[in-house]
Amino acid sequence: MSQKPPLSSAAGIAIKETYGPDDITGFDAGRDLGASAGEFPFTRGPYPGMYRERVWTRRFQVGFGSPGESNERIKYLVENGANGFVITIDLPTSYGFDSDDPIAQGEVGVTGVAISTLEDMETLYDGFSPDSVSYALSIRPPVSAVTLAMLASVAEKKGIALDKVIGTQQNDPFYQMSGGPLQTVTQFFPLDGTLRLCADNIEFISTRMPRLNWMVTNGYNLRETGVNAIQDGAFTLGHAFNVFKMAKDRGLDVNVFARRASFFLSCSIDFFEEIAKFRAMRRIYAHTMREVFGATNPECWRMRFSVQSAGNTLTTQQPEVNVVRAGVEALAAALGGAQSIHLCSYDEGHGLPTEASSRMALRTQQVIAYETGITRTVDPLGGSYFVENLTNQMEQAIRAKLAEIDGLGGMFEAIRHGWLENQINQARYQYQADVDSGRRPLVGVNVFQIPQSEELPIEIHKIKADEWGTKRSEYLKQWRQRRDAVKWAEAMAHIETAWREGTNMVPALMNAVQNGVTMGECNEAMRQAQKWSFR
Amino acid sequence: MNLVDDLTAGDRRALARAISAVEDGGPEAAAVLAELQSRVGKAAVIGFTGPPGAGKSTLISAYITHLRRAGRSVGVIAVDPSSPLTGGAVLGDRARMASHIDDDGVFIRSLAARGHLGGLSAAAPFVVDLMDAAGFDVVIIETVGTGQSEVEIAGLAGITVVVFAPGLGDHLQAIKAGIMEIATVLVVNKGDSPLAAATAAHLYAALHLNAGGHREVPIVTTTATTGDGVGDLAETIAGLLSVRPPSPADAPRRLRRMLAALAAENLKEKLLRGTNPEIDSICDEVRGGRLGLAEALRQLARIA
Amino acid sequence: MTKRHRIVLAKMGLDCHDTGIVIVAQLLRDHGFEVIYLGLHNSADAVVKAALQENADAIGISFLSGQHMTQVRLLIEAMARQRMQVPVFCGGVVPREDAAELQKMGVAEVFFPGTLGPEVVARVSGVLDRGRAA
Repeated sequence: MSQKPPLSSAAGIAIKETYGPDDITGFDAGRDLGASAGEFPFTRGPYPGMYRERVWTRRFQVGFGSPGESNERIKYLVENGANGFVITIDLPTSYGFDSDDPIAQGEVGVTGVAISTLEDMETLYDGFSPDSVSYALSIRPPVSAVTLAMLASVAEKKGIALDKVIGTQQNDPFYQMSGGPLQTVTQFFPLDGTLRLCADNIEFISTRMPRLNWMVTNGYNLRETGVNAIQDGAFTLGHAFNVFKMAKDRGLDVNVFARRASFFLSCSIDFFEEIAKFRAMRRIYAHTMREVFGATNPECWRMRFSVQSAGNTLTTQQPEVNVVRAGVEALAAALGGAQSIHLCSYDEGHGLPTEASSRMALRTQQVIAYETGITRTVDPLGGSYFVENLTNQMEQAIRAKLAEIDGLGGMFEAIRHGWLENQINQARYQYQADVDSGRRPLVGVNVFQIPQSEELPIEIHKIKADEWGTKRSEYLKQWRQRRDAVKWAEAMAHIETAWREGTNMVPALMNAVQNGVTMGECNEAMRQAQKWSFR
Repeated sequence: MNLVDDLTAGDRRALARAISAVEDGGPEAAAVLAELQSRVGKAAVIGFTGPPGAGKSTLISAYITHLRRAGRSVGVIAVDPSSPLTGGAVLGDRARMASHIDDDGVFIRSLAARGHLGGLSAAAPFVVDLMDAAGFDVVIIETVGTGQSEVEIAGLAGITVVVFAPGLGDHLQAIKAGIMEIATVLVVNKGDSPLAAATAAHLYAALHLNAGGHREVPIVTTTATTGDGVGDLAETIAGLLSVRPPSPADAPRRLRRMLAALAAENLKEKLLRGTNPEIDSICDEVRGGRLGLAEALRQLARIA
Repeated sequence: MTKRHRIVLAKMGLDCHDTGIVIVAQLLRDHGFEVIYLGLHNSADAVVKAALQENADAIGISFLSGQHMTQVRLLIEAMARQRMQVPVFCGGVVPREDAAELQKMGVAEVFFPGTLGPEVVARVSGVLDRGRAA
């Protein structure tokens, strides 16, 4: 069958037959792109030389079952040359519950590793030093304040100065849990408390742990809800700017805290639109940081981001075709100047990835990095009539959306009032309608289908949720018996006092985890200090 | 045993089925309604209305917590619009009252407006009666809050709480639209907003600037998400109820008001649609000065 | 007045990926269903109790992060406990071999990712209409 391709981009930007000099009138390479990569406004890339100097990091996502199992997996990967890891956390931990909480039933260790005690964090770092191996924890406040306290405590116990510790606490207050519904961030902890802990983390890290990344704005999860590239750019930047404003309002120096801010973004399948999005976002970020936030440190003008290929472009039908999709998305991310890339595995429409499918995702990146030669020059698409025109159009559209958000009082307000959720709901419904009607072709889904009998067999990752849950409950039972009850009670009381006094919570949480208080108990104590309950 | 006996005896499943019966109409509905009449008039009926985004559901949830502490059982009717094109609906209010799901003293039912133009389901008065008969001390109705429904809810409920969120400007629209006349309590929700005080002041001014406006309407500021001020709201409502407690006369009054609203709406629709030759000719007669307005209204009422 | 299909849709447990179920909610609404959407983080008992109060004709749930076996078992148990008998629909990232298992547990239909909207509506309506005719 033949498909006539749509003549506008996925986000609705009309695409012409050809582009020429008239489409970039007034184009000034020095002003619009920067003299080279690594110069304001960084359209071509945040660093000089880019991949000639250092190929993007091929991040490994690790995290399942117990901390011991995850640690063993990390050791295996380190032996095979890896040194950067995204640690995914299971859902109970992500919401601040211990593995033995009844609410955790069926979820322990499934989507990531369970971390309930300081000992769990120590186990995760077994054989490694937090000043030499970098873990990026996909975690949000309130939980990120506790994991930060655990990380700092691990460093102290190992005799490593806090200012030497490397790694990342994602710390995104809103988008980390699936990006969409407000309910995910208000169900188990009061929103104002979450924002306070976000700021506590920024303060503690930027003053005490300057090598640690304190904030990764998670545009990825937001994009996965189905919004388009323009919304993605605007909602992600708008959210980061709102967090920066909160940090500034607390009296923190933008030239210090903004140095350690970065982004986690999605790269979807509309090839040139995604490249233009990345370039436009870097340009908007540079101008905003310099001109709105008054940052004078050039480090604070550079927008750095890691990319994951879009999970929502994967299909269940003919899953092996997903390797091609991820490959195209990785190529767009590299041409868009990403600092680190992680690709979804082809089997994610069927279940969690297997080792074999994860390896295929890594190999796809390695082909692009080492065989294609696209790393040989910086921003190879720069100066293309089409790409520069599309970058300009993306910038205008994202800026218009940002102005709309400003009119609502900023992204936090837009989220609180349900505006974001409305935008998301409209976008994802429209997306499905486009797939249903065939306006958006999806190979194997609405075009070029094959019968189920011809589908290749696929290996499935085995989930041992019940086994993991039982083992972890047993472990926590022993943990609670083993700890010093008096010190534990004092530490719990200290959390409540610190909360009410409004001091930075990280030291109080360090004291707590060192005295046996669990993740779930830290969260419960903080809820009680706010006279708040969800149960 | 019939449905009404069962639901009066506390069978929640029977209540749920009886509500569907009156919603869907038909012979079962008639049987249910006939059985119902002698068993109503004990519940206090409280309406909550206001613009979308004011936080009505969350506020109701917090108010229910107060009522439950006072030992009062609560039925909630949450009305959302139906799609005018397909008749379908997404009813999402009860998601914001989820904390009461384990409590047998609370029963929540979502109703789609099902094309009733006023934004309140045409079955709503009967559902109120059913919950009343089922023994709930308080029946709360939450309406769509898009304009017309506020006036109707005043007909159904003994007390009408109109809820606003600060800073959205909706209260200004409401003042213009005459909402103030039907409110027995005004609430400024999201009281933690810096604009809350200004909104309350606006409402106060609007109440007292109204011509002949000697109605004392309490204004309460609440923050439903934290529970702040919800105690004040509960006390205010309790005070009003002590002045005018529920009575067996309420149910027929509800029905009568509902019929009035429905009849008016029905006639209005026929008039505006302009496809009825009889109505066309009445209009022509009036325009030509051959028919007086009073007589025209009498004739129109017969057609409706 | 006419009888309309009423369906309770809910996310259970801690999984917060709601894109699929929210799209299905809108889709069913646009085909004349009354959808009672319970949002996230519902327990099995809460879903069943809401369905009872709403006198729903069916229950729909969806999962993305591997919780389906545990949560569906909890839901089926809660339905038995509360004597609720309506069709259950399950969507999301569910391995095919698990789907067969879910159907054995009593799930009426399992929807994999990539199922087109009209097919969802047709299969849900089909089950409900057969139930009504029976």
